[in-house]
Amino acid sequence: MANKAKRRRPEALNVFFGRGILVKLCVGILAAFFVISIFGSWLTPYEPTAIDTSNTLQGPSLAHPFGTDALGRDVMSRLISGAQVSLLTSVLSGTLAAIIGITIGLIAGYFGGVINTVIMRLVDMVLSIPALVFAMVIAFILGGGVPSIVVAIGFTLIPTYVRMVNGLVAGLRENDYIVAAQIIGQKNRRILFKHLFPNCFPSLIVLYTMNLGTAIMMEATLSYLGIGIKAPQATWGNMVSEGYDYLLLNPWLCFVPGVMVILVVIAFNVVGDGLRDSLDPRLRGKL
Amino acid sequence: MKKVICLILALVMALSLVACSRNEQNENNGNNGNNGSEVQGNGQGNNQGQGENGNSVDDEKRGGTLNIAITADATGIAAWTIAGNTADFICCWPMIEGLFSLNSDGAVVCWLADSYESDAEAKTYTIKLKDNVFFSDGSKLTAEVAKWNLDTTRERSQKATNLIGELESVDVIDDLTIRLNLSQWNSTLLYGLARECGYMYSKEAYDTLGEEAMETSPVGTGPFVQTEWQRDIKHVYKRNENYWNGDVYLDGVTISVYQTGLVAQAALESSEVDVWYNADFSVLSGMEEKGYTVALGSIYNMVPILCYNSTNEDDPFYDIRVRQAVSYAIDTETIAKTVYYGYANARNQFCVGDYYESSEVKGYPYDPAKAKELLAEAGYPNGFDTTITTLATTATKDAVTIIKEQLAEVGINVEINTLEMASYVIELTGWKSGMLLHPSGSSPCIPTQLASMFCQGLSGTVLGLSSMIRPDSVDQNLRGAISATNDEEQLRLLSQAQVDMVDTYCMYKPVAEVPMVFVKSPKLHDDGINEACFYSCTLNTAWKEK
Repeated sequence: MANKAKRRRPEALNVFFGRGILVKLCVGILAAFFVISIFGSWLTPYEPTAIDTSNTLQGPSLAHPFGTDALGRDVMSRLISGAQVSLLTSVLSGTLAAIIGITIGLIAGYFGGVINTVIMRLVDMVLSIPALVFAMVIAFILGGGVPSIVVAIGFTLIPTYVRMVNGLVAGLRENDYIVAAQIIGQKNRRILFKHLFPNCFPSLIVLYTMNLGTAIMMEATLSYLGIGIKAPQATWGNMVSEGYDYLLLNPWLCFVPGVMVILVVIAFNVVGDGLRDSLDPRLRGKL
Repeated sequence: MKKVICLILALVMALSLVACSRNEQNENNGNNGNNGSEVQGNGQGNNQGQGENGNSVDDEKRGGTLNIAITADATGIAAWTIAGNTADFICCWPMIEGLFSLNSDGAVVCWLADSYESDAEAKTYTIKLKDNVFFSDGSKLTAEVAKWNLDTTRERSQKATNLIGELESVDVIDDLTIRLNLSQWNSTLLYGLARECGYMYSKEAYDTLGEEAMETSPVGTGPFVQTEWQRDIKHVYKRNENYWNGDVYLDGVTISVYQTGLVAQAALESSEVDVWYNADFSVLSGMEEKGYTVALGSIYNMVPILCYNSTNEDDPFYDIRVRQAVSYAIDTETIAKTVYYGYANARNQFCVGDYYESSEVKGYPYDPAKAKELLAEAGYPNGFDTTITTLATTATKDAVTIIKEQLAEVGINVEINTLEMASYVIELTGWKSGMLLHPSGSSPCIPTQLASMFCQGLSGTVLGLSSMIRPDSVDQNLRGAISATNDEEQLRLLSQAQVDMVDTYCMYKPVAEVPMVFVKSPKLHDDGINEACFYSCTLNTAWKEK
């Protein structure tokens, strides 16, 4: 059994990295993103919120590689600080959504019947509201800031987990090992989390990865609209928003954080695609 | 095979892009051609004009359309629907004129009125109208029409209470003379009549067309007549051929709504528009370098003030020493220089221009050491946590960010709360604690402005109605300044009110006087746009270089 697992791991990695240079590049981008986010406090050359009114709207230079903004703050330091916020909000909101969504999906899929119908219709109702509008309403009610943005984004992502897990469990629960577990009297909780959940894991990893990208995009959008993280905390979204006013005068203020959002979101999606291909046995060998 | 298909698709896409760009170019050329024919048409007009008038200088000026870019449409263009937004006034410029106007010094001058006399003892103004003024529908401006206008405005205008609240009744003395009877003497009433409260509309058109039509297509005495108003898109005006005040050079005026300043700027730089209202301060020096005229107005019209909650006993700001400490800790010179790129002037009192400025006000020059001392005296040697609320605009957000940074130096930790307009208006009247940075508009008439903000007994959407103290002495001096019978008395009382509001009670910290900005094409002349302020201009004499 152990040997089999050993043999499968390199194969999955081979499939993953065998998809071409794009996947490798995206893994590199995400690695850099995580390193910058985690060690950002030591990497920022200046305090991200430190104002220098004698040095406003400067172009790129050795002292300020991405220039300074309208209040003389170092754009590079703010980008790094923004990366931390992006990572924090995406991971927390993704995890929040995953915990709630997977639990609800497992219950809906395993018990079926009325419980399934009620849960899935509720999920349909939530899905009928555009995700951004839903997040905006929640953020508006909760009043901005990291915790409320995490909740707002997390709640919009919950239905994606519920639907996926519900579908997977509906198929898995008919398997012999589940029936056997039921016959020997295992508790439902144990069946859900010891047997069903591990079998959903590969697909959930893919969804989680892709949702991180979605969460970053959503946080950037909410911050751009002014209902996300409050100033003067730097986020990529509010940096784009602030830079927009100077688009003709100093385009890099808007351009640099915008590109960062695009790169990281694309990277999460490409890596998510790669993971799906490498972890989904139905696709293995067909690429 | 896949590669070949991809290559073919890429080729097709590239060819499509090239073809599309060619079409666009052709379309642009076509537009240029249209413009060219319009210019030619103007040229013909000039020739005709030269033939008839023999005045080549005037004919050089004749023709063309003035295009103005605004970033939000007017809320109303009838005196009783005007909310006081700048766009309301801009959209009235071409077609509506008032009894009075402001000259470049900000002083009230007659426009449709020929002369006036004031009698403080009798509490009356007697206004004589010009004899030759006609509305664009051909009806004449008479004393009866002026009375009808003033009565309608007095009863229905949103600003009437603040601007002409003392106007009790209007008597018709003769065909061209009216007398305004006041309940209480108001030396600043004519300022109200130099803006929407003094606008004159055709009574005949109102009686014929009805109220609704007058609200969307009002008939005034102005040099142009509105022919089209597509809400949130544009206003189109054509020349009033029967304008009472001489020839009008321009064929027409178009005021277009550009949702973002960037697009408006691009439109100005591509000569699509001639005037851009509400330009961002950051681009002004660049526009000046490119040869555009930046019209700031001789009278600035905005005064951002940092207001303190002085009514909540649980708030540190209830203690005047805390309010004074914060005032000392804020460097308004830096804010004026950074946020407004040097186009604003730091002020120690709520004032625009020099006329009403009080030399008695000491204010709070930047002094962090003094601030710390006062905080310690007030029992906050290590500072405290508080909030600052403001409207979500670029300038105010930058200003509160700087304030947060400066207050951090004296130990005060500020949480910034930026709000969209709807939420902000609610907070404006009664924020619960902390500070509020209010980008207040200001009339050139400071006594009226301050009385409408800080007197007692006000109601409606009033700054700090339940959050700011309104001391008796401030109320008495402001009311006294308005009803003063001579200038010296008015200035003395206003000065005392300013000293009380700033030095004695530290109700707020004025940040700066900030101009309203119009960027104009160098080809536009004699338009009078924002010479004094934005209430009125002289589009009747405006002309464009060909």
